[in-house]
Amino acid sequence: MPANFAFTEFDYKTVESSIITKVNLILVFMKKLLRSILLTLSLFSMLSSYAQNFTVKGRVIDEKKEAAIGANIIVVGTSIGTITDYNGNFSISVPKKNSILRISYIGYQVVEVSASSPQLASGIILKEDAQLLSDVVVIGYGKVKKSDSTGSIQSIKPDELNKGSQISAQDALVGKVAGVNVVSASGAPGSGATIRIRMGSSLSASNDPLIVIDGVPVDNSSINGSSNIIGSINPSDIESFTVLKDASSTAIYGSRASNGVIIITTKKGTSGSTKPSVNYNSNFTVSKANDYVGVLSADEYREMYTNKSAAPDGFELGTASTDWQKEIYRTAFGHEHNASITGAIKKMPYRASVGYTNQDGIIKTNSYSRFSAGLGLSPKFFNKHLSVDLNIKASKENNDKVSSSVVGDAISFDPTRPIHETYPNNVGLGYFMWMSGGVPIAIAPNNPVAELELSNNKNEVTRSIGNMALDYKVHGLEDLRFNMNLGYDVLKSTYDQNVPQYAPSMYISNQKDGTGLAYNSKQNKRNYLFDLYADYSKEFAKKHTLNAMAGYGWQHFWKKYNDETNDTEKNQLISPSHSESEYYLLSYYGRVNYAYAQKYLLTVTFRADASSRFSKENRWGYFPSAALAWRINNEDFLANVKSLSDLKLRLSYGKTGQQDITSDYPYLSTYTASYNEARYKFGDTWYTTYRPDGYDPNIKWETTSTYNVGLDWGFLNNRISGSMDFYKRNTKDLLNEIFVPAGSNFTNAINTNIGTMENKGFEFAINGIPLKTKDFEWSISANFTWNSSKITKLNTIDTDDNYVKTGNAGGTGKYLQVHKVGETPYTFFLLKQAYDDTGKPLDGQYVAADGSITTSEEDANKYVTGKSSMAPYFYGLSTRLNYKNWDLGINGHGSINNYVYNYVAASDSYDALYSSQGTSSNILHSTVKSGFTQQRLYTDYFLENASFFRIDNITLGYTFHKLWRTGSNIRLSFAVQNVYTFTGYSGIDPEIYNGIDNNVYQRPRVFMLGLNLNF
Amino acid sequence: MIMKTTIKYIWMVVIAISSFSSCVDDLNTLPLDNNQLIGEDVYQSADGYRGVLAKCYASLILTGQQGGDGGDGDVSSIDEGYSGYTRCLFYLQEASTDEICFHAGSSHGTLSMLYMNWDASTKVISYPYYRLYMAISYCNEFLRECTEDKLQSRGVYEDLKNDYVNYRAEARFLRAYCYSMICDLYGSAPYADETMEVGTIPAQKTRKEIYDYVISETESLISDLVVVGNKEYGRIDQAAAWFLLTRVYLNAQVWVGEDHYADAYRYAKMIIDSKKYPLASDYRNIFLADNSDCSEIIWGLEQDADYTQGSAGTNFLIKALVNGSMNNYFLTGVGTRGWGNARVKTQLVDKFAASDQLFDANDPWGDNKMDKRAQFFTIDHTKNTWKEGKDFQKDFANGYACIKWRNVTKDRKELVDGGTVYSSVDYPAFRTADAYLMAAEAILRGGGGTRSEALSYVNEVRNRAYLSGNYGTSSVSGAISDSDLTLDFILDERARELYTENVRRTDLIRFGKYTKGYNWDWKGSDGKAGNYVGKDVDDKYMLFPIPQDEFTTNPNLTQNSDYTN
Repeated sequence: MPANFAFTEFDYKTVESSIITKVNLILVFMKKLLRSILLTLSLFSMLSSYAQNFTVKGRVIDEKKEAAIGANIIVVGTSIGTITDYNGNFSISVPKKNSILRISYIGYQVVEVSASSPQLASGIILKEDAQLLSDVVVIGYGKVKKSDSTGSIQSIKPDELNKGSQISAQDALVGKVAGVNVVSASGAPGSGATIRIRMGSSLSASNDPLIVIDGVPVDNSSINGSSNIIGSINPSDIESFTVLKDASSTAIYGSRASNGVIIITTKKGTSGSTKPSVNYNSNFTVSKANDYVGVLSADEYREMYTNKSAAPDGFELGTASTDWQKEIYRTAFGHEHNASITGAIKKMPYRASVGYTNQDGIIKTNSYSRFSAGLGLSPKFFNKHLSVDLNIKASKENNDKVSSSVVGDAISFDPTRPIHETYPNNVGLGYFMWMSGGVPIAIAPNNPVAELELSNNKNEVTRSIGNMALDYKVHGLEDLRFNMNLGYDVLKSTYDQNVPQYAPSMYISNQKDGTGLAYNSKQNKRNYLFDLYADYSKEFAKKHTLNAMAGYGWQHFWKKYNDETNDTEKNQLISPSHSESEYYLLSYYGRVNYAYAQKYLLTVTFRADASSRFSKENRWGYFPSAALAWRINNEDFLANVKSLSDLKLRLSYGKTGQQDITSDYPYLSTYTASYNEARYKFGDTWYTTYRPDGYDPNIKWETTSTYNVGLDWGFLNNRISGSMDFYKRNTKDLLNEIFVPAGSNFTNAINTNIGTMENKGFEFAINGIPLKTKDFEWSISANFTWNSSKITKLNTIDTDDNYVKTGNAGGTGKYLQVHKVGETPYTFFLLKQAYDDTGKPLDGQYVAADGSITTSEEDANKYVTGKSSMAPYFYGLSTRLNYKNWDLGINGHGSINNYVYNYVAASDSYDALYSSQGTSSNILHSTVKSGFTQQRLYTDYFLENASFFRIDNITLGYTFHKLWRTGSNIRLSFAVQNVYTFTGYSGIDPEIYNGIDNNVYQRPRVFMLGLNLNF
Repeated sequence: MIMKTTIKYIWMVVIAISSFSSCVDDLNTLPLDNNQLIGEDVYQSADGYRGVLAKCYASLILTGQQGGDGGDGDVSSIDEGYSGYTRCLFYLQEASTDEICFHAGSSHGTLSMLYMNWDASTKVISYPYYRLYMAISYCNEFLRECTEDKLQSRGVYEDLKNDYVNYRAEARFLRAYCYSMICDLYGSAPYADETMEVGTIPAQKTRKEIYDYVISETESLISDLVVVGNKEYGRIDQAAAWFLLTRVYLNAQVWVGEDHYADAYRYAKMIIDSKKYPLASDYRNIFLADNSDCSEIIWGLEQDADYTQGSAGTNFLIKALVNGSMNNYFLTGVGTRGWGNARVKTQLVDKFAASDQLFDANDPWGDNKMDKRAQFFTIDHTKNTWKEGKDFQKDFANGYACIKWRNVTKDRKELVDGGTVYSSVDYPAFRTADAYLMAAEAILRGGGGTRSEALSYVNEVRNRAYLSGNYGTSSVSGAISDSDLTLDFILDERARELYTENVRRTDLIRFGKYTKGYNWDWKGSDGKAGNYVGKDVDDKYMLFPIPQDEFTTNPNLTQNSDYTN
């Protein structure tokens, strides 16, 4: 049975006992379901085959009277079908004389004819699918026909069938677009992701792409308590993502475009039908941890402790046997429901949708839910001269978070200690905690189970994004239209942390005396947008097509933050903190598109941007671009090459900018007033102190120049199509945090314009349908990216020894990486491990620059490894197989030569067995192997090549058509997310964007049962 | 129809045009949060000026503007707790000497202090460097803004006319103090003052130039300071300038090869003879939570559990030196919040009589000890900072703990039950006992005065330590005889009196015993088993290198000799 092969691979080996029954149940249910479906189907087909009576013959041709080879012919309402032969001829048996035949052929419109039609003999003529040819892609401030676009643009529609489990919008982009790397931050549901288009062009400034939702560029500064900037968007409301990569397409967004642009278009109502169409989809998921970090069992630990620990006499191990990792993880369940209704009321198209997602995390007490609602109206007035497009989206996310430290605490917590223990005076609230002489130890590991069960961390994000676009075609001059877009993005995020008095963690943090904690923070953001542009399109003398656009934009970004730290009795523990700031962007922009004879295309854009973040003198930045495209397939000399359906060469150059730095007033000389806890007393008065803040009066735009050469191609009516791009990008005046000469400013490190960086890369994407028969269709998409990024200038003075440290592994200044001239950003900077003759690492011994062996861990003995966390190669693959009503999809992605530092292993050692604070901790199997007696945080022994390939998801679906009327159908699917990862990396998961594996919340494996109903 | 649309069209243009013009003004934004101000708002009141001067003082004890462990540190690239002046100085002045051994913090370079093998990239070396220059920058800014002209033009002259001369002198003093420390730690270094615009890259001065600047600047500002004994709490008076000059002149021979012992003696004697800062009646009271009224403290950097919170200052001195569980034996004043990662080396312990070394659970204050300065916690601790047959262990039980800093009051009570989260012990930057010992040393080094005078100064300090002579009725006298009085005795006496007070490295260098001729636990070692016996190290370690990061940005600098960067 084909249904099974998708999930026999992973089998039950990794599935633990607790879940076996559940998965088994699901499998059995699926099997039964499928079996009965198949049985029914075969019965139907048997019945129909008995009934067949008539045989008809015919021919299928295109408008040029060429034979359509391999066109599909199906008898509507049955499963009878065939395909045309080499001459376009077919023969098919029909149950009734007037049965309807549906003929489909890639790139052409679908035709239905009666089996008795005379057309059959004369040749059924297929029309080219104009919709396909005029496929438009959304670009900045407008749309362009895909065939006319000159930039490096890729538009994807999320594959509704083959998507696996998607909680956040960006999940749909994983592995789908060449040059775009999406790495989710963790396995916590609703967590954010790092999105990099062409590796990012900045060092200290943001490398996040600009995200534009229905014409509203969203602010990508962090949201208090939430890591997910677009977490509020329901993925099932998204119509398409358009990724703008080269400067020709992004420069229209000027100052925020250096890292690429992602335009998200949400689903809209359709003008055609007045009858409402309803979609409901839902799914149920079961999630499970993939793997656990290899630590000693309680018995192994006792033995190791006896042999290796430095504990004094009298220190006793516990008698329990606790597998702390198993105690914090669980099998998690989730469900999602989305409903939408689309239609038109009195010719006004509308779409309304609601969605609800509720997903538990695989770490206990972690759960995420989102309620979202959207409304889109697109009425037209004045004889369709005025189009109004109104979109309102609102959502509320509830995230019960867990401290990520529980992952590490569960790995290292002494397995001989119990979870529960009782102490006098309610101390510890019944949980085990570290005590010395009856007193809690201040610097001690935190009981992770107590942390999960007692600490309550709640994040709520309420957000609404909306816009109203008025598009007015001038009466009497219809080639000219004015477009005004008013948009808003309003957000409120609250984060509450409540820990009761006497909880174990309250003795190792906070006041360190058991005082409870009631922390509350609140962030508000209000961003407004006004855009107005005029657009003029005209075709002259049939050969010249001109489109010109010019506009003005205004955006205001405001944010406010405040928090309160109280004990559980509402007594203030420290002064509330607060901040509030804003900035404005003002822009003039324009674009001219000119095409000659559908062969030669020219695009010129220009944008002038002013940011309030810079002084008057540096405020304006100018960002021009130009692109040329040559549609080679429209040249006469290729007219006879029928198999070639598209061939376009693209060249572009442009400048883009970057102004996204943390401070909104970096050029201003300001003073910071002290909080109450940082005052100074003269005489009897406590004075608020005023500190002059560091600033750079000359700070200005970072600018990036990008050259791009691209080729789009398609064969056999675009049955095979693809594109490739080569780009080179230079960033200058890099906004970079560097040291300033001591004594010259009010800070020792400042964000300023210094340094240059060079990026280049090659991107390749291919889509094809290798197989297509009557019942069978197999499509495949693949993309591959090569990127290289090199810093060419970094500091005021660049010498061989100069670098800027980065990649803090956490805590106090444990830097593992550097930025250095001539190197890829985030290159690891480590000690060279020394080994003995047998290849065993020598504990605490390193090879110094002069080849001698040293024990010093100073920077002088470290070397630039030439290995970076940034992946030079990455790729994505997806494929889909349709057989009759069955569909099977597989998605995967991977990267090559990205490096990860296994900090989980590096921070462990025999030393951890006992701490002289009076605590004991578990160690890793890898430590037993290395034999390291102390933490060796900087040795290249722990740097690993983390190349990987991940099968992201496998989805199997079956669709029941025509449930009670035409157009009503239901699809059932079963999917597995995060199926398997092929890698040589020794840690849990090799996909870590910053390359430092530091106890991340692992991505779970998810089993999903889905239902999609349309009527 | 057309009419209607035309109206709409006009309306759109009107909106557009009106927003165009108003929007250009939008770009002139000013900070919205009431904690972030522009200069003109700060300097519109006398309190604003005092607030900036207060920052100059506070920058030598606090870490940032928010207080506590998190948020808005002054020295942005350093972990905030480590950026506090007295704390980062402790790593250089104490952890590299015969006094203190750290069992933690190796990622910052504390192990390099232990082994004396640091280089220009050792992080902890850059911490006092950047902190001192930050304080200098704040003083420069205050001096730029606190001029008579600017006070007049801002209309605050009337409010400040009686004070601003003092304020300026204090800012200049604080700056001179910072340069004296730079001269001591790094030697030759960049120089910036209020005449240079923000952003100007400083040029380097030689050690001699910095020394000369400190002397001339301090001598010239004395007359503008508040008269000795008349200061407000938290500020300084002329005695602080005398003290600074004493210290700098005493070290002049080592720093710049000039004999200024007579000057050192003269200024130390001015402090003593002024009688405004008499020794505290009990040594132990100098390091307690209510030491704000301690008579001996010439310049105290304020600490308060509520208003000056941070992981540096005396909070660090208390918590780093004791573990939480020690609170079971004596009142730390911070409850069980101690960290306990610093321990004393055996050489320091051995400066005290064997009978005074051990902690007695029945006498947690050491009342029964002869020398009340011997404040160690020893229960469950080895005296050795090593374990036989083992590499250096980050084991907090190796080495005694120092318990001279206690966040409790003279009447031996906690500020609140269970202790406070932060310390209220003011940090005594300058105190009179040091002036006595410096005076005695200057005399012995030929700076004038008589041996009997020197002996009386030393015995003043020792009698106070033993609570004998004028200081009490102890049966054992702390006084020594003339035959005991040698320079070596003074060096040891300074250890007994001033240990953990951030002067040890300077003293050892002045006595020629820092790199060679006197060795202590782990000095010059590689940390391997058995290598705890100290060894001589290269003389280059008498100066710290200029931090490597400076060479990425300041083209005017040359590294101290024998260090590469």
